[in-house]
Amino acid sequence: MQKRILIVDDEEPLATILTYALRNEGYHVDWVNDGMKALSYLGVNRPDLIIMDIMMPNLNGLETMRITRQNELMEGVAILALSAKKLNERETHELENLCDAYIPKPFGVETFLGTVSQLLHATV
Amino acid sequence: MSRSGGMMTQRERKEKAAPVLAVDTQAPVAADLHAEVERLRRELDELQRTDRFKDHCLSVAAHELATPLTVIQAYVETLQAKWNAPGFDQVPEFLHVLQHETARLIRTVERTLQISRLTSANQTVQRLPLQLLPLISVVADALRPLFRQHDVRLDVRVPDTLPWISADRDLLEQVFINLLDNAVKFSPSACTVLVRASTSTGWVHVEVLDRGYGIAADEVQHIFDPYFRSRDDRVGHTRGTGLGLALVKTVMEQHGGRIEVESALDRGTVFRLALPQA
Repeated sequence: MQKRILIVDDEEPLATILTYALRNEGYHVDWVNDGMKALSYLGVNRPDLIIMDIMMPNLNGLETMRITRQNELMEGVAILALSAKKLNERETHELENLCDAYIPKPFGVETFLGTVSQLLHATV
Repeated sequence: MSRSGGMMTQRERKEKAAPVLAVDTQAPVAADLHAEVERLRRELDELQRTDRFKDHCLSVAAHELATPLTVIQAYVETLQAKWNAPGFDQVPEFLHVLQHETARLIRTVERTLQISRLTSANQTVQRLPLQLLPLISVVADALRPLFRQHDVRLDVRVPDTLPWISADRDLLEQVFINLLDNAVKFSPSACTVLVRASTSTGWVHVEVLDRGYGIAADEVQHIFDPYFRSRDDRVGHTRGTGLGLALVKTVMEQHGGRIEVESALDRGTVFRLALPQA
């Protein structure tokens, strides 16, 4: 069955190329550009993996992940965080508790696809 | 010289020395020391505040550079992998994104360096006497195509009788380019952006006023912060450097001027500039 991935990132060019790369691998991909829209999406959809940027308008990635993790319906959904933000000790600790993997920017497509594949196989 | 013609008597020495050693002069000395300690403490606080601010800027700058770099790396890698693949017809689209992201990266670096140069301790701006109307007219003419593209009207009401100011022409042009570029981005079609000027004793005032989307109350206080961007997605998907208004404020301060902003959501924004007369 085709795996479903949600990208949450306000950087349209980045979301576009990641979507392209993931679709080439056979995944179904949806994209929203902020945390509030992600929560609306997750109200009616259950993806296998969420790819989450940390610095976003309206509701940032950490806040969005915190709310998502409290949603019982999202239990077992993997989260891959992406960010260039220099995190403080508290944020790093929180991020480790909220996401399954973290890739700091800048990163290459191969690293990204490899991490996605690992996370999706782990959630089978 | 002493009255005894060279040598001072012990009494004379005491009399001469007494005012210097008098107990009642200790209080002013102590007060001076206290004031000096206070001044150094304030300077230290300011340096620590500046240091924290620079740390913050460095952290945000890293984000601003890392994001377009990630985009560039991902598009280049995909192009390398797919260039000759059958059915791959997105080369022009990918090259357009690469050009756009590279230009954005260059703008971010240039503006960061410009702000850094302007705020460095030994930087002085090259001021010459100039009139605002010709300067604003040049900027307005250059930006009219952009205003037409957004279907926004630009109304310049700057009298030609304004007093002279002393300013760096290029930097001041950049101020009005950034303010007008900002105003047009934040205006829906069919709106008007107004530039008007007036004077008060010793000052020339300019207002750049739009009736656009406005700025949320919690964002107004950050509008001049480096790398700050509004979360209002009506502005469109084209992301700026987040340095335009920070540069405007820096330039105004370097000219001994002031800038204030007043805004209300869905009612518009006015930037008020004051520059000292020459």
